[in-house]
Amino acid sequence: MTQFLQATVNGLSLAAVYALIAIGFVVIYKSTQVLSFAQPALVLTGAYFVSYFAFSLGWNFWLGLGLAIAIAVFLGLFVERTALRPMIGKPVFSVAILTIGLDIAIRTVINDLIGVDFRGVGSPWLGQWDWGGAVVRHAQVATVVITVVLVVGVVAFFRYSRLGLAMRAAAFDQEVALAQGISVAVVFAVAWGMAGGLAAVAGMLIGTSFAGVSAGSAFVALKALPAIVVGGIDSLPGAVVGSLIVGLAEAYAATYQAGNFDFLGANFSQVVPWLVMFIVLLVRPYGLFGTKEVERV
Amino acid sequence: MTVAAPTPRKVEVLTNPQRLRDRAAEAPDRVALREKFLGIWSDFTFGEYWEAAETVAHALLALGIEPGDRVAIHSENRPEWLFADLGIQAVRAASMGLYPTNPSAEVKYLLENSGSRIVITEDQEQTDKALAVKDQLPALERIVYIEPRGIRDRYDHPILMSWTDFLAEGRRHREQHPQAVAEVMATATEDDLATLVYTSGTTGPPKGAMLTVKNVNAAVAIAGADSGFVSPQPGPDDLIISYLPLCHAYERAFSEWFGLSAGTVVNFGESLETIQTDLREIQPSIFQSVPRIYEKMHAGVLIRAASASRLKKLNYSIWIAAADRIGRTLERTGGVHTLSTRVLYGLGYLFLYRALKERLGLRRCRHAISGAAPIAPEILRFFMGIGVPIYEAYGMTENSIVATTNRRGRVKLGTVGEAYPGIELKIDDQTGEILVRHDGVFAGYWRMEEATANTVDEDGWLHTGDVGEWVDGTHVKIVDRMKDIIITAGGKNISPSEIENTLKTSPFVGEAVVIGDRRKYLTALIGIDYDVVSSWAQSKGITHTTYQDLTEKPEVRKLIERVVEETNEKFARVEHLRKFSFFTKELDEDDGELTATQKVKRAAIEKRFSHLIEAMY
Amino acid sequence: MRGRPGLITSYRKDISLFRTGTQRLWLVVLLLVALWLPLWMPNDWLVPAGISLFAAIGAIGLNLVTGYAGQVSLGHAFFLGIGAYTASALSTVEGPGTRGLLAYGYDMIIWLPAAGLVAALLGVIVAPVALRLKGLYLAFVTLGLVFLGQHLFQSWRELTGGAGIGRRAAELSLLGFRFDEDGEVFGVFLSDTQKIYFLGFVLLVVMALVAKNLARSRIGRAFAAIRDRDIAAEIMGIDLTRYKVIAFAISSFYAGVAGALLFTVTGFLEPNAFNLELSIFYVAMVLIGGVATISGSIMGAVFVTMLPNLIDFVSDYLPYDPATGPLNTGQLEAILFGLLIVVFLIFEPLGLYGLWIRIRNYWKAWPFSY
Repeated sequence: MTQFLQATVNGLSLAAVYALIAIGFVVIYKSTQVLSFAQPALVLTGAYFVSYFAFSLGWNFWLGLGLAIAIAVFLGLFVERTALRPMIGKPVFSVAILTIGLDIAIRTVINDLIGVDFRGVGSPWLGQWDWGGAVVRHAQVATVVITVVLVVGVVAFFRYSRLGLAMRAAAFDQEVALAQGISVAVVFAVAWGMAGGLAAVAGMLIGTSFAGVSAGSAFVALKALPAIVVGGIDSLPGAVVGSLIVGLAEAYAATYQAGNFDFLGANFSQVVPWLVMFIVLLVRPYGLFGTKEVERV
Repeated sequence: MTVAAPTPRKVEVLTNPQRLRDRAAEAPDRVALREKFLGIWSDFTFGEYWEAAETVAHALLALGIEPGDRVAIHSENRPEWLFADLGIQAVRAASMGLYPTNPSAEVKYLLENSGSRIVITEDQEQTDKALAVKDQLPALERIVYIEPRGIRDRYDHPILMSWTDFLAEGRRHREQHPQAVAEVMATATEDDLATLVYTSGTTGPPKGAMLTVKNVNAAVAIAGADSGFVSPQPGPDDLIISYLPLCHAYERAFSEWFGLSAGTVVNFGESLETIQTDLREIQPSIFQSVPRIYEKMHAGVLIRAASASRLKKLNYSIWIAAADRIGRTLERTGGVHTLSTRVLYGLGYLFLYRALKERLGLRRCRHAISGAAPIAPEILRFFMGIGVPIYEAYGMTENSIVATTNRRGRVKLGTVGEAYPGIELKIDDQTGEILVRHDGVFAGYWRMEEATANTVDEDGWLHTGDVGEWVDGTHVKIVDRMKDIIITAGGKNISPSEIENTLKTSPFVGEAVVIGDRRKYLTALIGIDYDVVSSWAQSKGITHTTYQDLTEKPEVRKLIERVVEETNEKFARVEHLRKFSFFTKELDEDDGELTATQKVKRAAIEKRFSHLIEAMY
Repeated sequence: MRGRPGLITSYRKDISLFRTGTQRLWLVVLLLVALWLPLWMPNDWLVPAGISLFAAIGAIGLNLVTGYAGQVSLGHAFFLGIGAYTASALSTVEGPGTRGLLAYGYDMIIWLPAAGLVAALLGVIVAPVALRLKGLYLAFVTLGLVFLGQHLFQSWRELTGGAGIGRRAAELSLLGFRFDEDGEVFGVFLSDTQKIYFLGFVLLVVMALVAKNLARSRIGRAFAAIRDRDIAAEIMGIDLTRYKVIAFAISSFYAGVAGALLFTVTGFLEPNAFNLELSIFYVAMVLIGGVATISGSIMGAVFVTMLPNLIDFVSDYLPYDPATGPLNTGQLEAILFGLLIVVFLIFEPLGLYGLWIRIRNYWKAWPFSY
């Protein structure tokens, strides 16, 4: 039971990280029809700068986080303006591959800055609690709390703010939105800025949940991909549910596979998200909450 | 039947079907025709060609067609046109072609006047026209449609028969009477009516010119002579493209008569609209055309050169200037290269002419002909300069299209050249009318004795209706159609077509009609070339919507004013245009302003646009 | 008819491999140049050149499924890995050095086709997924395939030697003839890299011709129809299941063959090599070279594989020196590589082939601009 509780706690905090990244993906996809494979690079950028300001320079953690978010937002805006604006109207897949190119270029630079070692992020959540034998680190609770707050914030933004409504309109039909006087350029920029900010926070959380920031942190971000696919790539609730499924599945696999299913190989939990994705897609080709594409002939 | 003599003269006559049969026997696998179908130029060999024509002949026999009967063909150019025509001639009947653009009323007139027993229609459109009037045509027994789309399973009329059924009928007949067609063909005489060609009268109803086997053979003999129609004479290595209406004698002579006598490969493009692409693909070695096409080509070159990139434009202007020099030299020498033009041409060939000719589809063209209407010398000079020798020729349906031509090395621009050997040509002292006499002169107008008598006199001279004059005693220059000659109020005789053609050398001018008969001064109605002027206007930032809107732009008016001024500079004072107006629409065959061969119908235009004309006086 | 390239008298002629004599002439010239290069090229250029020929086979495979048939695959690394390990296991001779690895000791004549066939078989198994999924979702699945494959390679020690340890690549011994040793061929002394280059050259020419023929065949036309509009293709009577399976099978076969050969040059296989990055390399080859063109695939493969050499070469003339600057050659290469993908997608979606087409059209339109 303790083992299960521990796995659940780990799974939830993992799911929280995935959810933040996944929401970034979905926001961009919904408002701009771009599937951004550059998300890992944004995550890494955020993580590195938090680490740089709060750890290397020893500044206040929150100040460092704020600056890192600002940098990631700026990077998101920059990428959108320079590389993606010219691609409006091009096939979805070409744009997706383009973001892979961006990801490689940005990540190479950040990796060079990070170097070979793990870097701390200087987060204030270093302690841990003991809940009936399960170890709950403060960082894990912080991860879940921050994610919940941000998710609620994002949902509220889309539901109540003018701009959020405009973005939903643009997601629904760009041309009609344009005709209504909505600046699609602003919508695109906000989407990318938002994704950048969320990615920076996620990067920081990866840094606190895993022993620090490293070049490998980008792979954690990549695992948010199966999460959004499970949920359906154009659904915000889907992203959250997908992240929960994937995060928990990964955590349970990590806990129970060793000793029971050794033939599956070491580190099997790392590929569990992808397996979950396979199974879900075979049953539901558009994910759990994704909109089925209606094809007109 | 009045034409076939009661006692056939037993001379060695060769008819078109016999030529085809001999070619098929000699080289059955050689390519005779090509048709662009679904993007591919598919072949027909002489063997297949003859097989198809013979089957048609059998089918006609099965349907009871006898020597002297008339069978009509209403279709665009396509191999079936020739199969049908040759099948018809094989059974010694006469073919009669209708223009695809002929409306139902005209179809009725032509079928009725010719007394056609069968009409072969291309598709649903033409079938509908015939069906609409068939009740008024007691002589019409059958409508054979080539394309079944829209007809099969939908039309149910005893008079209809599909091309497939028609051929099946022919095959059945051949099985039962294998020698039937050969027997009829063997009885052919020189005086058999080969075809009826209706001249698109610019005045009055169309008249059916009767061309006999003798007439056809006269034209074939001239085409086969070394210094004849095409020089050196056409052969099996030549390619031509069939795109002018086949019911006109000009195209028929090339696609059918010369195709069979010389064995040239005849290519059918997709339609008249795709002529540019088809030309580029076929690169014909002999190109028969009319001035309008050359003018279009010339205008197309000018526009595209103007919108080319800087480097290409520079290249173009250098070498086109050289081409102009070459053209002028050739004009002086009659088309013979001098050493300096040869060198200049060789260089220009590398940089411009080769590619330009390739684009025009005339790179392999060794002999181009311009006929049917006068062409401006500027256009000829341009083509001569870039290495496409265009020879202006003169002929009409009534003399089997052969009368005069410019010859290699003896070209005089502005003339229609010299008479072919064996053709008597004289110019009437009083009227200036050109008269010709030879075997090609037709047998008369179908069922129009009076019109025939007005055209061919007792001595066999054909009155062409064209006013001509001698140039250097050898070459003939056509002044104008006799009835078009303008006599001003001051009593001065003026040829409007010369002025009109000069106007039309400008790419901006599409049509021009000079007015001034019995008036104090000359004016003109001008139609702009919409495509050219439109792209010119775009480059100048002039927004416009329709043709009429464009003509009302002051900038466009100024543009054409300049063209008119330039034209005036080339003529004497009495021939100057004082005023001009724009046509308010693009001239159209359907509105009765153009003939099927795209010539303007002067009388109709003067009536229709009389308000414009009166406003200028 | 000679000298009339536009006069196409049959569909066979319309889709012939090389329409004009000029095209054939240039091809021969190009092939001769390619054969002449290894005779003087220094080894540090010849080795990547040899690898690039093998990579080109793989790129053609990816282009068949992604460029021609429109089935986006990010899983090419998986099939390359399958080919590599099949070849290695079949080729290795049992001995003290094999440490319990699978080893069957077959000749190249066996292991090369087998590598392709095993990969093709796995392609057939994966293909049904492509029937249910389209576009991005398919991309995700193939992406997942790479991760699963990597896990498989790391875990199956008998086959791969395990992560960080690895095993030797297949041995280039064809019926006793060794490509991986220096030696005389028809009286000419050739080094191992030269021999490998020639091997790659011959294989590439054969496989490229096969692919080009395939692309114009019924199968290739079905691929294009599916790519352009699958529903329309289905209505025309194209069996989607059948052709998608064929596309994956052929593509995987090419990948398997390429994978089997790629690592023979360096001689060593490590499970982590078959990662997402490798897949992206191949996607980049296709994109930079030109989607749905065989010659583009080859250009792209050569360009991407030779990129480090090109950077080295160029950096000699630049003020920036990777040896002392903050970014080393590898990083510079990665950045440039990423940016190249971006630049090509934005400015020249048809890739290097598109550039070539542009140049050709400039001259084709001579003396006009259109």
